[in-house]
Amino acid sequence: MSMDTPLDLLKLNLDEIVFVKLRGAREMTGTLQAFDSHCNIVLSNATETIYELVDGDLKSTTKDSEMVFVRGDSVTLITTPSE
Amino acid sequence: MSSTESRPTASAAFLSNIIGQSVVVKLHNGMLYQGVLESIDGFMNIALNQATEHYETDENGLLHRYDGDVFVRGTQVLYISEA
Amino acid sequence: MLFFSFFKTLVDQEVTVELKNDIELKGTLKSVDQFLNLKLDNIECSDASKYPHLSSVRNIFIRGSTVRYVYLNKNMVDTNLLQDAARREAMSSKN
Repeated sequence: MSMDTPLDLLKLNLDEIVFVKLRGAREMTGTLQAFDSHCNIVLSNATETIYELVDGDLKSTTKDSEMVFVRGDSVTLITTPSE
Repeated sequence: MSSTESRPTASAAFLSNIIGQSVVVKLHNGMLYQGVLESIDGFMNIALNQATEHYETDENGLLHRYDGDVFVRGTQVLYISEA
Repeated sequence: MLFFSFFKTLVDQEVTVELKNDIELKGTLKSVDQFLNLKLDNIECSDASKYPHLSSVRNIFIRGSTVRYVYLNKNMVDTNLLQDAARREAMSSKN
């Protein structure tokens, strides 16, 4: 019997903007171009946000890239961006 | 019935029984997700619907509410339980 | 196998690799294997003062598991081809 696995559902997000949570208080938003079963992904027009505590204050820095490969072992969660 | 045919294990039975139920998923980094279980595979990759995000316990403040499907990577999952 | 094939199409192009220890290296991709280990030629470090031990290195073999990101240029990638390959990969890995 074939059923939609969680990874099958990711297929629906190809060519759509996704929000990816990564290890180390990092997030990345961009257009999903590819993924595999390890959650290796390629995003285009991506913006990475890094959160850091500086003297007890939460600081965030962002970094844009036109095309980026993200290794799957850094990925914790993938969804569509809210708002 | 052939003797090589495997009967569903207790964990497989549990996982297929909780599809469509409200579940709680805890990750290694302490994040807690509550939502409706859309699907799950043998690697503990999980798709949740109407997910909310808390840190450690849902008595801690709501961090995020996800409108779209949330894909959680199996390697990051500590446990899944019925909510 | 999808990303192994993907990186093979990028051989001889200039890429920037960010490692999990925050080191960032730019160089020409010379080779890739199934573990996504990478060989880079003519590397430069984005912050050589921070990583003086790398300043004399021209040629490097990177263990795939230490990679966080690989930055590419838009024009290196045929996005339609890549998306189709990803759909096919999702199909074939299903059993």
